[in-house]
Amino acid sequence: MGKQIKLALVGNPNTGKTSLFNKLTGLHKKIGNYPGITVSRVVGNFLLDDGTAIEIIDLPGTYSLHPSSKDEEVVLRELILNKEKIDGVLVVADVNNLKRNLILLTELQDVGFSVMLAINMCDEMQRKGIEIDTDKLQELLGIPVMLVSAKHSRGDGMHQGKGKIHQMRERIPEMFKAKSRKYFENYRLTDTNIDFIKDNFPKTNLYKLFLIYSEQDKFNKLIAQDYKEILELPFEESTVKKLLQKEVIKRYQDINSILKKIYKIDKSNATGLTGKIDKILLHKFWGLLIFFMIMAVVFQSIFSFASVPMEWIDAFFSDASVFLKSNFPDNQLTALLTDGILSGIAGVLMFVPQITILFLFIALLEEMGYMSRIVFLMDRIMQPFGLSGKSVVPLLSGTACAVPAIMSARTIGNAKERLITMLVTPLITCSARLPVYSIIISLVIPKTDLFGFMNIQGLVLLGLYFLGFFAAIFSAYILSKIIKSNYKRFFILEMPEYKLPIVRNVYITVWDNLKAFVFGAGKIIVAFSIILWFLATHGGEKFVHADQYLQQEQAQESKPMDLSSYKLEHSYLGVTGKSIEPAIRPLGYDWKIGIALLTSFAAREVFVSTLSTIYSVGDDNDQLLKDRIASERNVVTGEKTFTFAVGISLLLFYVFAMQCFSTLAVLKKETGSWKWPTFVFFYMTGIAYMTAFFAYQVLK
Amino acid sequence: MNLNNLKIGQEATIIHCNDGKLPLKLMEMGCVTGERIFFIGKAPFGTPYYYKIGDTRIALGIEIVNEIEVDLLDG
Repeated sequence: MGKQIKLALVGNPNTGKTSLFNKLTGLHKKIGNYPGITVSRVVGNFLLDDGTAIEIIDLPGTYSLHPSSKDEEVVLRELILNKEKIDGVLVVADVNNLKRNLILLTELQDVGFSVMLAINMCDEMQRKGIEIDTDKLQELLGIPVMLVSAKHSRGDGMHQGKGKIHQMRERIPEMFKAKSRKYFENYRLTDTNIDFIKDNFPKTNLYKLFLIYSEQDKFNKLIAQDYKEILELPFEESTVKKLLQKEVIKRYQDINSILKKIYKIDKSNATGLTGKIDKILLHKFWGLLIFFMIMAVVFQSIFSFASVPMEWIDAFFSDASVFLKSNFPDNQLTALLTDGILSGIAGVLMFVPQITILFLFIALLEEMGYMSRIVFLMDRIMQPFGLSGKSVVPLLSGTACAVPAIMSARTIGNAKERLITMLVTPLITCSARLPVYSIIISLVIPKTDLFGFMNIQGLVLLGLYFLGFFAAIFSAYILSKIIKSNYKRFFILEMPEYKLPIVRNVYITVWDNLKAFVFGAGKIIVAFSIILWFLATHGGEKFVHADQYLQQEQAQESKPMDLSSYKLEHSYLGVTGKSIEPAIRPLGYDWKIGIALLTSFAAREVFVSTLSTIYSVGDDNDQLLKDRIASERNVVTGEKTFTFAVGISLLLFYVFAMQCFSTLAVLKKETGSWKWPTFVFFYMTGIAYMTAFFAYQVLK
Repeated sequence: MNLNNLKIGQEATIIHCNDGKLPLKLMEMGCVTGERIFFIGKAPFGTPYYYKIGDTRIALGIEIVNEIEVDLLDG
């Protein structure tokens, strides 16, 4: 066994940090979540030629160690408390923004870490007319410096041999021998508190102590014991802020004097491509048009292109189920395998095409630098509702399916905006609601035309879409007032240079998200569907001996009913459906609808097939089912079950209710706890119940 | 003059942006006294505004733009 070294990968956003991470580690990585917050934690590893094992943590992108978001707090805490025992830090900088990127580097040097600097995107230097004297830069910073390009297959840059990723790996040990420069101690920030800290902790790194003092609210109780004296110091926000501003100005001065000696740019070679593309893509008219066209393509793809592979998956699993049923003994185990487990897995894989397509687009747009432009274009519209400009993508994708849509909220940097987006996305009318809407609308809404050309049924459907959309926007507004954030909203957004997507990054993004869904949310979905299957296929005495009871009852009442319908009625699920009847009676529903409401938790469209079973209409024949439901009468009153009032009540219920455990599962996965899925469940179902209640009571 | 008064296509030098109201992040991203700032354009619905500060392309909300003082460069 060789040595083990633990590194952190740190850098500004948009420096190609993740590409470099992927390059360094290949696919050897693990993705998790930092406890309690929606920031993912990525760890990878690789071996050096001498057998040294390197473990590397990809920390969230940040502009400095003074955090301005939850993501950036993670970087501060990881590096300052260093619970993970990080030995050294690999800093990634972008050759186009070297000055700004070096701020973070100098901070890390001041904290006392062994540091190595990788200047990425060196392939662009020639085109941009940039020259960097790396040898001199190494000398001035006192650390190893490399030019790399994460874009090219072997990491080659224009400087032959210098940009290789392999060489970069092998130079890692150099950082531990280097004599890294310090800056902060020369800044002489005159402040009595700093003097006090200096005197009381003479052996501890001063900049680290300064960070603990100035960012003490980011550490909470984590440092209460070790740095009691610092926390007891008077803390006046305006004074501290002035100190921090002085610090930044001093750092810029230091960096300017370094860059003067090593950095040359000849602008005559620069093409200014990004500026030209922005003129079109951010144009008042063309920019918006292109944006909506891109969104239309994305929407179209997840809505219709995904349906082809989804049908294959469906067909494959039903074939497999039939095969197993005909080749295995007809017993409980086979039923569990086919109707429980297999259909659960099918339910998970069913989402794969949509997630793949959606993330393919998102990864491409992100890679090319267009996602920031979406925020720029849409911020003015979304911001009053507490949403990010990027929320447009999840909200729109939500019209196909909330599951991939909620996952796509990952691209939203601000934790509060991301959370709100995820919480309101399920209110957007998804495609699973369509079959339910269409059957109920055809039952209770007349098929007449308004003004001779507008179909009322179509108008009602459109109205339901709008209702879902407004509910989402309105809820976002309410939530943005309720959910607290430590950070006042200032709009500062870097607009990265446009670049061609790196194919490898795109497929890694898609693959990572698929894996996260299948193995994260997937487990919960399979578990839920097994439970639901069990409840629908097991029951008490009347279920077990259903055939005998059915014969008896039919002899007495001459009521036409088939066995499967009778069994569902007396299964645990049916009994539950009956027992909730008092609760749903005020909405105008009977126990049959109650059972259908429960089963539609598997997926909303199951409502239709459950009604088919209950009403003993085979083969999901919509026309037959429609006629059967239309003729259904209440046993007691003799009135029609599906009156106009009941229909509207049901439609409203389906607009608002949280009736999809896949969505709950993915919310759990993305937010890291059951707190938010539980909230969404009660919030949405609560609205659903109230609106359905009022609609029925007024209309009946 | 206030950055808000800069017209699209004009360039200026930042003379004051370390007001206590603004986030430190702004300075960390290069918005410090002495840097050049170029006004590229506005978003279709009015805000945010789009600038180039030094080598960084950056979009800023109006709440920030109003707090920055600049000196217009001639020509």
